[in-house]
Amino acid sequence: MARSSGRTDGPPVRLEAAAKRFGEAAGAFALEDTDLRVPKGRVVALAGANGSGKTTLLRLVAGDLRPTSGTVRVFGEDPASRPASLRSRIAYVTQSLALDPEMRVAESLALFAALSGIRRRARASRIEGAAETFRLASHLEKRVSRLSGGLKRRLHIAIGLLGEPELILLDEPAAGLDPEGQELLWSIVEARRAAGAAVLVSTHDPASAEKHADRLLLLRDGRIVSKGAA
Amino acid sequence: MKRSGLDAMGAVFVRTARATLRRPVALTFSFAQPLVWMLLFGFLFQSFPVGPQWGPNGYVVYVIPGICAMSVLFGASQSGISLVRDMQTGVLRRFLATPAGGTWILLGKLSADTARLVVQAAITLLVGWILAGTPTLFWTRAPATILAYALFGFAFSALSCSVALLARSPEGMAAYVHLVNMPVLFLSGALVPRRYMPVWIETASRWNPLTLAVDVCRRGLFRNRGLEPFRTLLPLALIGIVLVSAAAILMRRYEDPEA
Repeated sequence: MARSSGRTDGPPVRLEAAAKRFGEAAGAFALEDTDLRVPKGRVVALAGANGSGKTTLLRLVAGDLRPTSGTVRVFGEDPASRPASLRSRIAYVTQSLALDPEMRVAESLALFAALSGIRRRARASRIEGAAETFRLASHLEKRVSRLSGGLKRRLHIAIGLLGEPELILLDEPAAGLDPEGQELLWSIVEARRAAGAAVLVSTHDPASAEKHADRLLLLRDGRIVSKGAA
Repeated sequence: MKRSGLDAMGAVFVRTARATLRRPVALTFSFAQPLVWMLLFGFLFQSFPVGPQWGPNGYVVYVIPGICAMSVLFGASQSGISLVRDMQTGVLRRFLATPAGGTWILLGKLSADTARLVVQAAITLLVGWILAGTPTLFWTRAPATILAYALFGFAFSALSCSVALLARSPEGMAAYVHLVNMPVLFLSGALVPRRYMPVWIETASRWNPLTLAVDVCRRGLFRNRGLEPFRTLLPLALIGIVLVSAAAILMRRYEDPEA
């Protein structure tokens, strides 16, 4: 996971008084006055009810949204300006699946391996590794549209992690996964953490998060109401 | 050129080409539509006085280059329609989150779509040539004809992608197909000689990119006359550069979800 020089080297995630509001109406804040740091080699879980601000927080870190006020920095850079230097360092795996239903599993992995800038010589082994890690090896020739919901979810995450990013943002990654799939997911998260990646993951399952994450943050109405070691 | 950019472009080219082959309905329609037009238009206006130089089958021969260009025009709309599909599945945003960059992704897609359109035009030409009784063709002019249709297809695929990036909905693309393609077709020299047009239509058709592409095929491949590249191929290339640049700018804007 060591990265070449020439890249900024701030902490993977740093939020200072970051807030996001949608519209001008009272109560339009999706996230209020949030401070957060995610260091390298740490897994931070976000828990909370629907609408508590978990996805907004992840989208701010991914650069998908600009903060209304406050600061968001990823490796010392503003992610909303979408600098090219950050693209290969961050993986944002959204809650909604983003897959081409007409492609085969192997083709999907190969396409994103090329788009992620993985060198040609390394691609085959990287794809093979991802297929084994996510237990997709026996499904490589299947069309995505023919996969079960759980397998689609696994492929969706596998594509996101192909480039071996240093910061992994996972929005409800366990949605649609059976218990075995969830265990697999957390084992992959732990392996990435051991390799030095920072992970920020939202979940509706605080029990699993407590077991696997280094910190568990509870969000309510756009605020972090509880911080602590998991 | 960045090697990784070319790699990404190649990967998107392959992905787009595969998607084309896996949508048999769209593929069949894109071949059936010009065939129907050729049969209906060609034989309905069979006695239209296009001139003795077009041989005994006159209008049926004359209209072949126009129908080929029409198939490219309508086929180019598929480019924007498939882009809307990629927006709806979230795939486009995921592409744009990769280090590849929107311009390379766009170029890969447009290249594959252009290849499809050229093949489509070539098959339409072949079918038309057989239906018209195999008139004499001047094959040395084929490369210029292919280039003209490719430039036209590249430009109009880029235009349909721009519309898709602005409209972001299938309804928007449907409106584009009806409101833009038909006027472009009828305000061109694709279907009738310009000397029969009212003055205002004749003026519009002179600068219509469809007319430019048709002229290269009609003058060269069918009549072995000079190509006038500064009047035809160069303007087509310039129009292509402008429209592809516009699509690239809109793609970059789409990368910003709050734009």
